[in-house]
Amino acid sequence: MSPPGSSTAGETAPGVDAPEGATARDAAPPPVIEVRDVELSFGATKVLQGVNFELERGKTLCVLGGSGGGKSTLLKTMIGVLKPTAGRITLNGHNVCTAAGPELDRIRRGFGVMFQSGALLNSMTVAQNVALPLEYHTKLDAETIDTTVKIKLHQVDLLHAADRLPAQISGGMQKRAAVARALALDPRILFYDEPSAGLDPIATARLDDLVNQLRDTMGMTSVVVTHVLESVRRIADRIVMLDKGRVILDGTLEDLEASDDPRIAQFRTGETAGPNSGVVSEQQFLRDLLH
Amino acid sequence: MSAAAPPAPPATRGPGAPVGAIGRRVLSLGPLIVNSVGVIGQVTRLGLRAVYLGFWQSLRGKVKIKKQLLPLMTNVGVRSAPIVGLVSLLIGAILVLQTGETIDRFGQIGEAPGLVALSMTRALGPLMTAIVLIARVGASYTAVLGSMNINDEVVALRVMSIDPVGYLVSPRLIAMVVMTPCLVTFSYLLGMAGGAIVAWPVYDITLQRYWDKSISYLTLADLYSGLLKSMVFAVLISLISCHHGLAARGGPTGLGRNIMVSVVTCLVIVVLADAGMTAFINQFLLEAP
Repeated sequence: MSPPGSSTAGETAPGVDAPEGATARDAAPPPVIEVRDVELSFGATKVLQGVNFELERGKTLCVLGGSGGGKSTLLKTMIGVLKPTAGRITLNGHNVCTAAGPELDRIRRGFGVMFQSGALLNSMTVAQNVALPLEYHTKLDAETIDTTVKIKLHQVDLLHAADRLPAQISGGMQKRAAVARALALDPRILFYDEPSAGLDPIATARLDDLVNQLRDTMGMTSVVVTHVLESVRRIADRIVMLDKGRVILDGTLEDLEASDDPRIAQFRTGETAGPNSGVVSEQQFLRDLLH
Repeated sequence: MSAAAPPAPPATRGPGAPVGAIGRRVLSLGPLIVNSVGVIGQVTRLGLRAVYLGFWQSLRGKVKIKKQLLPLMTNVGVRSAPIVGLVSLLIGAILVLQTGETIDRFGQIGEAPGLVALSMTRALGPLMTAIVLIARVGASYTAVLGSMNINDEVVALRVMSIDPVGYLVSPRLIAMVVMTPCLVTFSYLLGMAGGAIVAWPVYDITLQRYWDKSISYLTLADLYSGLLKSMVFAVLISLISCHHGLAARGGPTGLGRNIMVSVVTCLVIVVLADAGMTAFINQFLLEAP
């Protein structure tokens, strides 16, 4: 397992020769996502503390952690919705933390986001939702937009639901429609916030297959915030685990499985007793009661 | 014994109690005033941004609102017309019924059409239309934008580099500013019609005579003063409603609270604006009949 906050996914793979005269460091492609010393506080509460990691192109990073661990906050910070109190986040080489106005808009057009609820506009059909970014940010004519929308919906296997409203389709379909909308402008990075939340195992597996398919066919770099271990086992090239806003694991699936950190072990096994149980011991209860 | 005794609570009894109560009440107004000034600032900023994006940027093709405008204008105008018409018709009828008996005693029943026409154009037409729009359109603006905010749809727009103010607020503002004067004109006509419907059987004023008398009382200034008021009301209602929608937090309870606050704020602000504008218009634009 790499020490937290220091590793780079996909460093020169064993067996792959670096170009003649070049060092292994020169040969490694630059990271698409770089998170450096990120801290975020809401008042006196520190939500993220010294978060560090990098991710290379075409890899899927799973951000793991228990509820309230800072996963969704980290995602919102990475997409520029929240500004960190310290640190730097770069996407495709652009600093999201300092960007504002048109510059932030330009950076945002380089990535797509699938929100936990899908966040489709409920007054529009699935096809209109997917067409929205194209209508707003391109000068394509209506026919080309229509064709592009069909291609994107076909990619997520939702062409048959193009004319339905979000309320008329299932939760899993809404999430796939949200992926299609996120793909509309052909981004290089996709962020997923709890994609399996509220889905049955089959719908979850379909969504995981979609994440893998986008990585394998389009070289998509993905960041998936989740707490479902089955999904992590299916899609993760790289895992960052957060606990109380700190990175406690930065490595691969094997590192997660092999870790003897009690917090990680409890998360892995799903035991209720452990450091993250939230249960107050009898002695602590008595101390609190009497003092 | 503890080193520092807790501070004594403020006296609530004794001779100084009323003064203390007044002092506490005055102090409690501080946060309310600060909060109100903050909301006024936020609504003004929202309005300036909505105008900039809705007019300037949409003319340059950078903000696309055309698709949304027609359904929103239909909602504000066409779908509000029946209720505005009904309310105005009844207001006109009630005016004749309430005032007719008194002015008839002075032999002035023939002036009732003028009274209705002036009341509807200068005051009641714009005000009643605004009240209907607050209930029907303003509340729905807050509810729609609030639920979009709570469901992350507003954040999703922002992440897609689509300005939520340009996409959601500007078209709503334009729809209200364009359609409210149309509704107020409709309200003028229906109000006078309501008066005529009652005046004919009760006071034997024929429709032709009623119409002629109404027209003889009205000046162009009466008509456009009401339309001017209606446009100001439209701006206030749409901006206050949208602001409270975009500020909604905390699920259904927060949304419900924001809808209530939005409706009450709109009512109070519209009546205040009506009073201020009436004083201004009477002073500078209108002549006494």
